[in-house]
This record gives sequence, structure tokens and C-alpha cells, in this order.
Amino acid sequence: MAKMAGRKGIKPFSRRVLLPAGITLGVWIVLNVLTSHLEWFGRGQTYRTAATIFYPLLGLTIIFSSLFVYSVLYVRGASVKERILWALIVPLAWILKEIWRVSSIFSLGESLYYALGPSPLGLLGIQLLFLPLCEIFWRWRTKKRGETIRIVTLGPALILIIFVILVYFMLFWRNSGDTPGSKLFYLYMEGYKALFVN
Amino acid sequence: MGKIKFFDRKVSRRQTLKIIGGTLAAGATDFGLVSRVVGAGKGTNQEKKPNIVFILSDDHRADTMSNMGHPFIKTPNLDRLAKEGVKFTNNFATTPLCSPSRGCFLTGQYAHRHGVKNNFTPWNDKNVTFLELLKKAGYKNAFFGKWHMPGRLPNLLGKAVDRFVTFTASGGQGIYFDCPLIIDGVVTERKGKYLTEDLTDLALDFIRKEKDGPFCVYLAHKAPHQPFVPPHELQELYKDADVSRTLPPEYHPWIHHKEGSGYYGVMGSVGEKYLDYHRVITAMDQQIGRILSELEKLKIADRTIVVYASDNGYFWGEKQLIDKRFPYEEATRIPLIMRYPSKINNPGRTTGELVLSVDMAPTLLALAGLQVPGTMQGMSLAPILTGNKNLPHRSSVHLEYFKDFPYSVPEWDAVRTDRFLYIEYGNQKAAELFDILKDPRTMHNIISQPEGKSVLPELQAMMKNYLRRKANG
Repeated sequence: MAKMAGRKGIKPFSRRVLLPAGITLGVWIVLNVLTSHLEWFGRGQTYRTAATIFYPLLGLTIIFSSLFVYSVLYVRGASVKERILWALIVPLAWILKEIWRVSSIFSLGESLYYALGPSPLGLLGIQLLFLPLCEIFWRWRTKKRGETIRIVTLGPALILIIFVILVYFMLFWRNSGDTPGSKLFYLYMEGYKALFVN
Repeated sequence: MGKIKFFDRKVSRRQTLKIIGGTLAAGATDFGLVSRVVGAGKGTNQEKKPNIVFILSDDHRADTMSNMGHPFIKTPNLDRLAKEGVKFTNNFATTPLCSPSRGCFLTGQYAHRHGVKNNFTPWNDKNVTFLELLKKAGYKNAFFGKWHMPGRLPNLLGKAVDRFVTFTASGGQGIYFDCPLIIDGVVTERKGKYLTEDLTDLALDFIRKEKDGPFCVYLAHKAPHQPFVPPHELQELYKDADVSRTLPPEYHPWIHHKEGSGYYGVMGSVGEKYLDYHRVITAMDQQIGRILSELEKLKIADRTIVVYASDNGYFWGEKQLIDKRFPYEEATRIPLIMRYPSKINNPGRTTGELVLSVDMAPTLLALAGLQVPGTMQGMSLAPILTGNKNLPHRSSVHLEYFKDFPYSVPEWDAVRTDRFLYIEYGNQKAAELFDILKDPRTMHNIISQPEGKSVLPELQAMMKNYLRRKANG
């Protein structure tokens, strides 16, 4: 099983994949509920403290959960396909939730186009950094334990190159003084106009 | 609980005629418009038409001026304007969003009529602006600053203005430093210039050149729109300000991470951005001061109308919202101050009459003694400036918002009376009703409470009437 990671002691699917991915998804759901009901914490300092705790945690979960899931799946012997797919469970769930949320305002087509916007695209873009780095890190750890394994392979290297290009277009491709990302945003809006505005 | 009456001032037919007569008289005699201006062409001995300096800012909420009791911002020049003119405390943007609102100011029409409903629907060059009508009457006009309406830049030069200075950088939003300007069609680099000051410099040049008048300067600042970049010398201003008195209880430092808020361009610490917002307003106030000083220096202040307004307000965490667009007071209520030393009675007054962004075009035309086209939907505020008591008073106004992808704000229509705000949304979101007198921050929806139920039918009838008119264009 060449593509299985962790090499030894591959766990059953429920422990290998469902448990870590499910726990992460559960944390995300709980944080969503809490940030949507900050009034439970009253007003004033408690409210602001709750926001200061839960909003960053929510953001961290959405952005960085893939690092955790990918790592656990690697250690528990999940395949590359499993690692990539399940590591993205929270980012993908967030994007689906966004589509669902905006579908009460926009048409289905517009809601799907919303998912191609800078925020969802940026979220998926950052995963192009995390997943290869995760892979490289765990390969390095595996090699350190004495196994024969290449640390950097073609797949992660290519993905990292795509990430760098994406970062340029998302953040640095702009006019002096512009808010980072504004040029891509205007391009995205031109696409919207072409598709949805007469 | 007794039924609340909207129309406290029930009027008979005779009184109505009296009011209309009073209005006409106020408009005509208090400003000496009919006798002096109507039919007065160039070269006659009639009194000169007034000069106009119309200053429009971007996202400046009505309460963020020292003359509104703000605890730490300093706006001495806007305060001076208010002291020497009339301040309107119930002025509303008919659509609280940049592009449509600009169209409303220029045309005197609602967005559903002038067509710029959001950031996509393009400006129609067939729209008639007050600038065009002033120009036809002999005014020398200049447009400086933010156009920011969808579509190509309009063909204003020659048709409506004699000088057209604008920008297309950052999607038409402009940038605070080094913003290239399009001066009469020519792109010009402006290295090292701060946009608010740069536009003011150009406006002052025009005023000096056209001091003999009549002239109209339309000066539309980017300030204080995000990213709220103050000039270098004001970067430390208000650093010790106590923001706890101005930020709402429901504010928290992560407000800009609320779902759907990512597109509002507020990144990093909201706290620092909040202070920058005030710094940028003070920077703009300084530039307004330069204009007031120059008018005095040129000895034309008495016959120059100076108007200050903003396209919409701004949320800083109220109801956990940021930006504008929503139908609540923070976004819809906008500053409006008018000064006209030689004509305004009792300067320093504050009026709470319900007035709208669409009133500006008819007001300026009326003050210039011109006929207000029937296609304009606003009312002239000239009678209010005279302080005439026998005026028709609006019992309600209609506000509207159209879908604007990707900002996840549903379409809405609102009816605002002196006391109530009733909102109907275009999606599944339930209608809302607020008692502004009891609940000025619109925190408690009373639509299903007895006091709400008692006034709802009248508000719904008003809404039906407004929507019928809207459907008819």
C-alpha cells in the first residue's frame, strides 16, 4: 500500500478518517453556533471577551483545521486521496454554508458564483500551502525515524508553485495604495457582470 | 394603548391651499426668486444668481461631527458651517449606497428612476443632472472627485460642466495618496498628493477663476470611505480618545469577521480603523475650512451657497453590522448642512424635518431661481431655509435598496415617519418595525407587539402606496 501514510498500524476508516474529521467539523459547528449567539453572553465585557475568544477560534478552525486533520490522517495511515479530501472538510463545509446563506438573497447561479469569490478562493488557496507543507513535514518526520522516503515530491512542489502564483494575483497584483486583493475583486465583479447583469 | 396618529396636523382643504400658497410665497419671495431670476437672462440688471459649492463626502455618518455632540472628533469648519447656516438632523439617503446615492443627489430622482440601483446598473447619459440645468442657465460648473457610478465615465464636459476632474483608480473609489486624476479627459499623475487636499486645491483654482460667478462646484470626496487613510500629520490624532462612549454596546473587535462582512474592506484592528475614520473626517474638515476662507477672501461668501452632505452613513458595530446598505439609521441618516448667508433666516438653526438626498437637486435649482423639472422626485428645501412656519411637512419618506452582489444584504423598502421605521425585505426576512422615538438605535422590533400592531396598518398602507409609485417608475 504505497500511498498509505503512517506505514504501520493503519487504523480502520472510522478511527483513521471519520473521528478526526468529525471532531474538527463538530468544533466548527459549535463555534458557529456560539458566534451567532453572542447575546447569550449578555453585553459588555463578557460579551466582548466571548467574541474575542470564539471569533478567532472560528477563524483558526476554518483556516487551519486542514493541518490538524491532514496530520492525524497521515499518522493513522490514510491514503493521499483520503488525506486531501478529508483535510478540506471544514473549508468546504464553510463554503457550502456560505452558498446556503447567500442563496436567500441571490439566485442559485449567483450563489454558486459567490463561492468563486476572493474569500472562498483565498481559503482554498491557503490550503495549497498547508497541505504540501504538511506532507513534507510528515515525510521529514518519517525519514527521521529511519524510513526510506523522499521528503519533497513532485505533487507538493507543483502545488506550492501554484500557491505562490495565486498569492501574487490575490494580494500583490494591485495598484499602489489599493486595499490588498481589490484588483482581483474587481476582476471577479467583471465576471459577475458578464454572467448575470444584462 | 391608544392608536398613534401619524398625521397629527390634519388640514382642511382651505388650509392646504394656504400651505401651498405659503410654500410658493416662501420660495418666491423669501429668496426673491421669481422677480429676480425667472426669465432673467445674461446681461440683464437682475440680481446675480448665487454661486454654489456642493461638498459630498463618502460614508460620513451624521453623528460624527462635533456639532452633533460627538465626544472626541473635531470638525470646527463643519461646526462653523452649521452655526452660519441650517443643519438638518433628519436627512436620509434614499438608497444608502455610494453609486445610487450619488445618482440621487445629481438627478433629484430615486434610484429606481435614475437607474443606478447598485454597483452594476450603469449611469444613463440621458439622465439630467442639476449641473446640466445650471449650465443651461449660464452657470460655470465644475465636477471634482468621485463619480463612481457603473458604466463608462459620463460625457459631462461641455454638457453639464466646464471642468471635469475625476478618477477611476481602485474601481472608481480612488486612493488616498497619489491618486491619478482624469482632468478634462486627460489622465494625470498626482505623486505625493493627498486626494482630499488635491481635489480642494483644484476646486479653489476654479473658484478663484470663476469668482465673478455664477458658478457651481460639485466637490465629491473619497473621504472618509475605507481604507480610511489619514494624511501623515494626523496619524496620531485621537490616539487617546475614549471610544467606549461612541462604539455601541454590541460592538466587538471581531465585528468585521462576521459572516458576509469580509467584502467591506476593513482588515486588521477595527479599533485603529475606527480612529482613522475620524482622522480622515477631520482632514476633510480642514479642507472645507480652506474653501470657506477663500470664499471670504474673495468676498463672495454672502452670495455663495455652501452645502455639505454625505452619500450614506456607516455602521461601526451597531447591531453587529459594519459598512452601510442596511435600512437602519446609522446607514440611512446623513449629514446635511446648508449655508447661504445673504438669504437664510436665523442662521444656526437645526431642523428635524424629514428631508432626503433627492431634495438636493430641486433645492439648488430653486435657490438659483430655476424651474424644477417635474421628473425630479425631491422637494425644494428652500422654504425650510427661510424658516417659514406654514410649510407642507412630509409625514413619511420612502427609502429603498436593491440587490448588490456579493454583499449579502437583501433588497428592502422602508417607510420612515417622524416616529417609526417600517421595513419590508425582498427575501424571507420578516418585516420589521421600530419606534425611533423610544428606541433610536432600532434594537427592538415591535412589529408583533401591541404598540406595533396598532400602527402597522397605516404604515403598510403607506408602503403599498410607495411601492405602487415605484412600480410606475
